[in-house]
Formats: sequence, structure tokens, C-alpha cells
Amino acid sequence: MAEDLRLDSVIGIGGGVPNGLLLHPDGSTLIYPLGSTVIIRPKGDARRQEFLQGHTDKVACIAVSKSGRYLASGQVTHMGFNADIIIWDFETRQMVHRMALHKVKVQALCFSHDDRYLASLGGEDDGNLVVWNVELGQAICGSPTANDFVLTVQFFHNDSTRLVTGGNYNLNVWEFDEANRKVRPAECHLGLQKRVCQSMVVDERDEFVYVGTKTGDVLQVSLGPKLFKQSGPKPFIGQGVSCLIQLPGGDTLVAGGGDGSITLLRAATLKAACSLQLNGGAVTSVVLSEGPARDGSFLLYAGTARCNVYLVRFDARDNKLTSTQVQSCHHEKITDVCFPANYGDVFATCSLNEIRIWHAAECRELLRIQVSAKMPDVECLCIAFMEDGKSVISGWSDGKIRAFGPQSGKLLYTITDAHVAGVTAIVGTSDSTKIVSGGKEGQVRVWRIGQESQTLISSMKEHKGPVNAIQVRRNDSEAVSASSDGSCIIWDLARFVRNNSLFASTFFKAILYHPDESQLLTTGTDRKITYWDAYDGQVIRNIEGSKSAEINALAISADGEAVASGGADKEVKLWGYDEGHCFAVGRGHSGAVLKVKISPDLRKVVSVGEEGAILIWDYISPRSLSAPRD
Amino acid sequence: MMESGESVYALIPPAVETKQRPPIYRSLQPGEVDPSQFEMGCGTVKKAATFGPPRGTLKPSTNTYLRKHSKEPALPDPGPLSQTKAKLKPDLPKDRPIMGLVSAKNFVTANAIENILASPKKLKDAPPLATQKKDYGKVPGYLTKVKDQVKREKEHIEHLTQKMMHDGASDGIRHMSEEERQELIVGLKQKWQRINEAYQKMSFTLDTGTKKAKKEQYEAELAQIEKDIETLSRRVVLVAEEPTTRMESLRLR
Repeated sequence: MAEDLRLDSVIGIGGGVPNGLLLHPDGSTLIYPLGSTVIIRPKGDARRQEFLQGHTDKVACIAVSKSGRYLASGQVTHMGFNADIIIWDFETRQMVHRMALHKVKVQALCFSHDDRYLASLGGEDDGNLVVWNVELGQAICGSPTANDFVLTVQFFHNDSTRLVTGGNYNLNVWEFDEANRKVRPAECHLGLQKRVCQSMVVDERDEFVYVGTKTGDVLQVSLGPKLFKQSGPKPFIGQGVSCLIQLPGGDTLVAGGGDGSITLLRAATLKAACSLQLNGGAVTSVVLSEGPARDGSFLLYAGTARCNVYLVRFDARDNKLTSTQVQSCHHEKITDVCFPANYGDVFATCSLNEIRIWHAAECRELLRIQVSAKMPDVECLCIAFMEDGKSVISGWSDGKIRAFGPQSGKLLYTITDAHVAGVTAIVGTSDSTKIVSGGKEGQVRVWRIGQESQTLISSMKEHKGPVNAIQVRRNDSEAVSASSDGSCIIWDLARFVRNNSLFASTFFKAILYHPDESQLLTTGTDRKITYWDAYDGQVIRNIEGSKSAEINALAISADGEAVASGGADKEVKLWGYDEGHCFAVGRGHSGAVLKVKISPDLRKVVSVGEEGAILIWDYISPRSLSAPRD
Repeated sequence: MMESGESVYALIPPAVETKQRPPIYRSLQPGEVDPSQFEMGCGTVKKAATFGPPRGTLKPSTNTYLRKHSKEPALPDPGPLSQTKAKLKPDLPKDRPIMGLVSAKNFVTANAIENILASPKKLKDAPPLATQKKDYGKVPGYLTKVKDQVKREKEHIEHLTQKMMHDGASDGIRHMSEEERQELIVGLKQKWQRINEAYQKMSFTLDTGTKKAKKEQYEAELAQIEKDIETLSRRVVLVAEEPTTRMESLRLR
């Protein structure tokens, strides 16, 4: 019945996936995972995205075939279940095969040079190597790998029946025999070196394999006699070599380090030529974008664990690496999203340690506010714009309320010890002189915001559980708060006493007024969306919001026609307010939806999820079920 | 109110409005034509502009009277519905069922004939008549068996009681014979001698607890033996065996 909500664009990248950022062999398309989705977009345009949806859980690895015809992606799943590998046809963006043999996790994937075979490795709980026929989507042969688990696999460049795997203290060359359905290993002798192989690259002539290790050095191992030849660089790359590529021509290697560095190595000597420190956690993937030119200059993309993508330029004349950030997003779960009053062009999101303000139409980051690096674990739990738009107010898990300037990102003021265990809900009044905040300990507090000082006006202690949402009436006479203790309270903001309370056996997650303020909407862990009378607190209507999982977020459109909900079933749903029917469903999140908002100009729906993605959907107004009135 | 001097509404700089210049003017008249050959609005005089309409032309006609609703605005044809009603139920089936079909069969007669011609049903494994059974009117075998068993038990108990009555006539007390008595006394005396010897050979000093206990044990044993000898030395010695132990042994058997 309900139609699909069109996904306009996604802000997010799965930065933690090793070698997750890929460049298609056509040289102009970037491919990367985000949660359970694989995103394909042109190099220059972050807005023109296409989505491959089919996985049921986080994508753990992706690979593209040498000709660019196929794309393969493997996923993680729950303990004891089979994890799927999906082969996609790149031209039509259609799923070709879905294959399941590995348990729990698919660790790595690699296509053979002629696109005929796909090798897949199971994760730590599986430890198998399987070779698949790409055309038929059937397994040819498989074998348990070494005693220890394996992390990475590479086919030879000229021989489609041989491949190399590396992992925890093992490095093997495998040869498979399609007729007899057998794959046989041969161990590489590294001498006294004990290394965990994290990344590897086979050179173009299949003479050597270069192995990036957790220790931080790169080993050169010959593939003929399977003997260790040399290692480098000295000193080691900090926190391991997490990704490694070899440039065409074969004399240069580029290694991404766990410390966020990019190092150029000469393949002949394995000595570092130059290096660059990026600011965004471990470099998890490096792909060559352009080059190398005649003088040896080139461009490459580097993806980091904190979900930043950099364009790194190597200038051979100066022997220098320079970087520019091309894409960025939150790397932890996003806890809140908000729009300024009556303005749909920008929105703000908050996550661990940071707040970002985005351009809604261009999906571009306008401002990033980070609290100091001395407090790495402090999380921003809630965020709001003051009604006059002159400050961004936010509640943090260290119990402070911080306000920032929306243009400079400067800290305007801090209210320390606003709530002992953390500020979980925050909202400004319409005259922008007060803030109403709710805490994890269950108190609702009203603060006066002056030019020079901020003072506590009143502290209202009635809730016994965390306050999850607060909204104030437009004339600032009343506020409503929803708490996990199973109650919502309507507060009088003149006398600071309870006016009314609503009870239900649920953890209330969200509460909001209908724009005409005659009714209240709540939702919570009982999966119901409930309409209440705002005057006497009586239940008016109950809608089953989800069949399977709790609902975390509610939003109502400015005209009061549509309600958006998002929950742990990973779906964003739009409901007609009057008829209480679900008329549109958006599927695309790969974790629970934590917050959802409808833009004040009624053009977009923005939802944020546990996987760290911001999804922007096209808003559609409700389609009535009843007959048109004559 | 906090005046930060910033505003979120100014975060995106307003797009600079470039004024659209109108396209360059080009005359519709081709420039190479001499305008003097055109009237330029001078030669267009309307008919009846000077003396009014010709006589008789304003006479009302019987065909051109004001018609009903002719001044109402004509609405365009309604197009397809802008808001279609979503279907909640499927449509009714299009094909009509064939009505009025009647069978010519006479069910009453047909049923009667069927039943008349039907052969009677045969019962499978009908239970045989009780009177036809072999042991009809006889006492069941198990009753005789149980009766016999009860009878045997009763007899056995009777037998045992008889036997006990017979044995217990003297209450289990008998005279001890002279030989037996002498034998016991001799034995006891020998034992007394042996213990006395050991007693006499003990050291004079009783310095340890063991010695003391040993001496007391010897004395007690000697005293007991002397007492037993005295008992056995009487003229008549009666021996009583406890009847209860016998009963126990019987029962156990």
C-alpha cells in the first residue's frame, strides 16, 4: 500500500571497512560501502549517488573486477548464520548472484584477472577460502586456510588459477584445480619473521608479493621459490600498514598506515621516499585516481577510519605529498539532527565529540565544531538551534550545555553541571531567552540565557527516568517532556509545576505538539504512535507504528499533514496525520534510525542512524485513502 | 537573549543576483524597405466611423435573442480525477454466475432405489457371543488359583503356631547336665589362673595410666570369673534360652 520514499542522497561512508573505497576501472566512478548499502557515485559529484541495496547487515568488504563488469560485496551477520556475498552487474546495477557459504563474516574478496573466478575469505569464526565461478555463482572449491585466520587475498595478475592469502602469522600461495575441485596451499618461508599480514599487492609480472604487516613494515616475498626477500622501511610505519597499492610501472608502492600516514616506498629497496600525515584515523583504503604522469606525479584517493576521504597529490618535482579533503561524515552513531526555525537550507547533526552543520541542498559540510581532544569520549546527545538562529545549543554526556556560534563555531558559553549524568534533551524557547533541558537523571530544568550570564530559573524533579524529548509551546506557556519512566509531563513554564501527565507502559522516546498545539503525539518502545489531547491529557488515538521494533523518533511537518517516524526496524515511515495511515516507507538505513526531521520548507526528510549515516529523502505530502470530497 | 553577532540564516551567503539584461532590440521591420509605401495607421478608417451604421442594420432579429444560461461562464470538461481513491478491496468479479440451473434427477426415488439395491454392510470382527465361549458358566481359573494360595498360606501359619506352642511348653528352661557344669567350671578356673598369673606379674608401681587401666581390667575380670564359678557351683543350674530370639529366627526364615 505504502509507496517507497525516494532517497535523495546520503551523507556517509563506511570508513572502517578495509579497502572499502574503490575506483571503478573506468576511472571516473567511486564505489564505497555505507552500512548495508554500497554506494556508487561519479568522482566529482557527491550528490549523484546510486545505491545497491541487498545486504541484511554491515558490508565488510567489496571488490570490483579488473574489467569493471562485476562488483562483489560481502557482509557481516549474526553469530552462527551464513554471511552473504553478492555479485552485482555494474552496468545495470542489478544483483546477479547471492552466495552464502561463509559463517558470520566475509573477510575479503578478490576477482581473478579474467573475471572468471572470485576468491572469498571467511572471517575469524569461519577461516575458509572459497573460489567461486562468477558466471554461474557457484562455489568451485574451498579449503580451510592456515591454522590461524586470514585477512587478505589476492589473485595473480596473469594466472587465474593461483592466488595468495595472508593473515595471522601466515602467508600462503594457493593453486586451484577446477577439474578436480581442489585448492592446494604452499607456505611462503619468511625465516624468523613473524608477521600479521594485513594488506598485500602482487606485482604485475607475478614475481613478488608485497605484504603490509601489522608490525608496520612491508615484506617483499618472491612468488617463485616462495622466499622472503627483503623488508622495509626503517623506521616502521606507525600502527601497521593497513592498505597497500602498487602504481602502474611497478617501481612505487603507496602504503596507508594505521597512524593515518601515507608513505611512498620505492619497490626495489622498500625505502620511504616521502610521507604525509592525514588527520582522520587509520588510512583504510588508498586508490589511484590519476597518473602517474610522465614526470611521476599522480593523484590518489585515501579513505580513513574516521570517514574522511582525501585527494592526495604527489608532486614529483618537489617530491611532496599534499592533501585536500573531498568528503567527510560522522564516524560514530549520530544522536540528533535539527533544522533552524522556518529554514530548510541547513541542518545540524551531532555525534561523538562533534557537531556538524550541513548544506541541505548540496550535502556539503558548512561547519564542524569539535570539543577539545582532551575529552575524546564526551558525546553530544542533543542539539537545537535557538529560535533567533544566533546560537546552536547542545547537551553533552559530561553534563554540560554548550552553545556555539553558528557561523564561526566559537564556544559562546558553557553551563557546567547542567544535569549530573548527561543532558539528554534540549530546546530553546521562542523568545530565545530561555533554555529547557532534560537530563538522564530525570530532571527538567529551565535556564535564563542572558548576554553575559546563564542562570538556573527552576529545576523540576518529577521524572524518574531519563528525559528523552522536550518541546515548548509557541507562546512559551507550557512545555512537554517525555521520559523513559513511562510518563510524559506537561509543565507550566510560569509557575514551574506539573499541569498534567500522560502515562503508558512504555519508554517514551519522542513527544511533539501538532502545529496547532491542540494535540500531542508520543511514541516509544511499545511501537505505538499515540495521539493525546493537549488540554486534558486523554488518549485520542493509537496507531501501530511498527510491527517489529521500537520507534525512536517522530517528526511532524510544518503544515501538520504528515508525521515521520523512524525506529529500530531501520525504516523511515511517513504517516498521514488525519487518517493515521502509513503512505510512504523509506528503506536504506543499516542501523536503527535514531532521529528523523522534516525540513520546514516541506521538501526533504532527514534521518540519522546508528551506523553514522545521514539520509536525505524527498518529502511527499500524504495521499488520502478516502474518496475526494464533492 | 544571547547576542552572538552570528546567525545561522546567514551561514549560506546569499546568491549574488546578476541582473538579466534584456535581449538587444531588433526592429521587426526590415530596414531596407522605404516606409512611405505603407499606410502606417493612416489609411485604416473603420466602417460606419463617421455616419453610424447603415439604416436598417440595427433592427432586432428574432433569432438573436438572449438565451438562458448563455451569460454563465462555460466550464471546461472535467479531466481525470486529481485525487484518485486508493483501492481497499479488489473489484467484484466480472463474470456472472449462470443462474437457474436445475437438475432433472428425482432424488427421492433415486435414493430409495439405491438403498433397495444396496447389499447389507458387513461388520468386521463382530464380537462372539458370550454363551458360545468355552469357559461359559465355569468358575474362572484365577479365582481357584487365588483360593488355593490363600488356603496354603493359612495352613502354613497354622503349622507354625502349632510348632511354637509345642516347643514353648517348658518356656525354654532346662537343667544343665553335670558334665557340662564341670567342664565349664574347669574352663573358668583355668582362665582365672591365666589372668591371675598375668596380674601377679605386673610391676608394683602403677606409674602410667595404661598400667592402672590394665590392673583394673584384670581385677574386674577375676571378680567376674569368681562370681561365675560361684553361680555354677550351685546344686541345681537352670539354663534359659530366650524365646524371643527363636521367634525372630522363625519369622526371618
